[in-house]
Amino acid sequence: MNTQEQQARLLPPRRHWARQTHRVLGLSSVLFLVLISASGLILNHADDFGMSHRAAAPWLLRLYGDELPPVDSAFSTAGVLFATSSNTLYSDGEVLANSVGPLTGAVATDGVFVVATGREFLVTSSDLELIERYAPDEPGLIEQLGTNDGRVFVAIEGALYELDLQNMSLSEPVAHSTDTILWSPPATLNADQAEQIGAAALGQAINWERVLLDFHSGRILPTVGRYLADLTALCILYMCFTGVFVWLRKR
Amino acid sequence: MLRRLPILLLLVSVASFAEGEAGQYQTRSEFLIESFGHDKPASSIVWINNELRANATEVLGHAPAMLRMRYWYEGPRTAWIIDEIGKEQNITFGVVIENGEVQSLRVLHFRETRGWEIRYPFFTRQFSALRLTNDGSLSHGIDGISGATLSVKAATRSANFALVLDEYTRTTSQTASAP
Repeated sequence: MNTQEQQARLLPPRRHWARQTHRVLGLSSVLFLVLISASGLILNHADDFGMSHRAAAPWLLRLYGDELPPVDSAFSTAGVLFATSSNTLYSDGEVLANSVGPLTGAVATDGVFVVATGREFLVTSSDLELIERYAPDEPGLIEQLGTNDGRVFVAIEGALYELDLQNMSLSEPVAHSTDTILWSPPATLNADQAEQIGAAALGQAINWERVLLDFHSGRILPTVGRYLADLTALCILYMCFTGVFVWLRKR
Repeated sequence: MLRRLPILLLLVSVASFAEGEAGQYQTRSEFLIESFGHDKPASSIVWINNELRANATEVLGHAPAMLRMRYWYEGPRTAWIIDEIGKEQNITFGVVIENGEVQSLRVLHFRETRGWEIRYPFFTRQFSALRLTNDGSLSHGIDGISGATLSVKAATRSANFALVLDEYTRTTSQTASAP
């Protein structure tokens, strides 16, 4: 036995670089892997737990900063304030409907409220319960909403229509002058009203599912959280490749 | 193997950032023409009374968003347009029913950022011949789509809700027009 062979027998067997790095990275990222896997599992069943419908705890909302979502549009009629923020329509600060664009008008007539966005009309009862939504097929955006003698009129791309609330359809008004129509003007909100709607919109936007999703992606922390999540993902990818590589090498 | 790693990572990244195809796929008129051959079928409404509200709440998992539902009909065929939340935004479905069986389901407007794959025929054709059983459940299951679980659930709930409404109109022969 020569000297080199003697030295080789005394030294511990050298492991392959892939095996070594696989082990080191696996151990270092185990905590993050557990957290990400657990949060991923819960997220997968978030709907079953009703997490998307529950607003996050107030102390968590504060983590998302002090900026409340802005109010996109507001109209007031018969003492009721209709406003939109983050695609949600609020009537007197309460959620009325979602997936709603900015408002273009709101009027009260015959015991109902009619609210218009650029693309649709929403009719509510006097108790502010949503009766029906109607998106007309007429091309163009709804620009204005007004009333005259209890009838509801709409301006779409400069053309005037009458809204039939019975059949939810638009028709050309018979010999009607736009001068006599009272068009609904936008409302100006005071600071309290804007804060109330903004706070409601923030509570709508940040539910438990969103919090868990941000935790899962690392966005719950400032920039560093995202990089940690990236690092963990890269570790997983690396371990996938080295795992297969080591297995193939053993064969 | 290691030399191919960047290519694999690039493919994974491209797949992750692929844009969806949200938007309006069909207007109401187009849906009615497809369902009845023209866009002027008779229309009527169903007011959501306490009985319907209880049934709908069971089917949808939440109270119906509106107090009345409009529908179109011709002979035994009815067509319903139903908004249902996928994850955060409404998805608008059109459901055609004849003699208590779903004839077709269409996605008219998709507003979510994910799950738009439910618009494709490979998914929507599963709803053909779907009906309510005697115990009120659906006659057959609907296969999901990976990554579109909530949209699939919204489509299934909408079809179920339309069947409940259709059954109600047939049993009550309700064709009253709006007040």
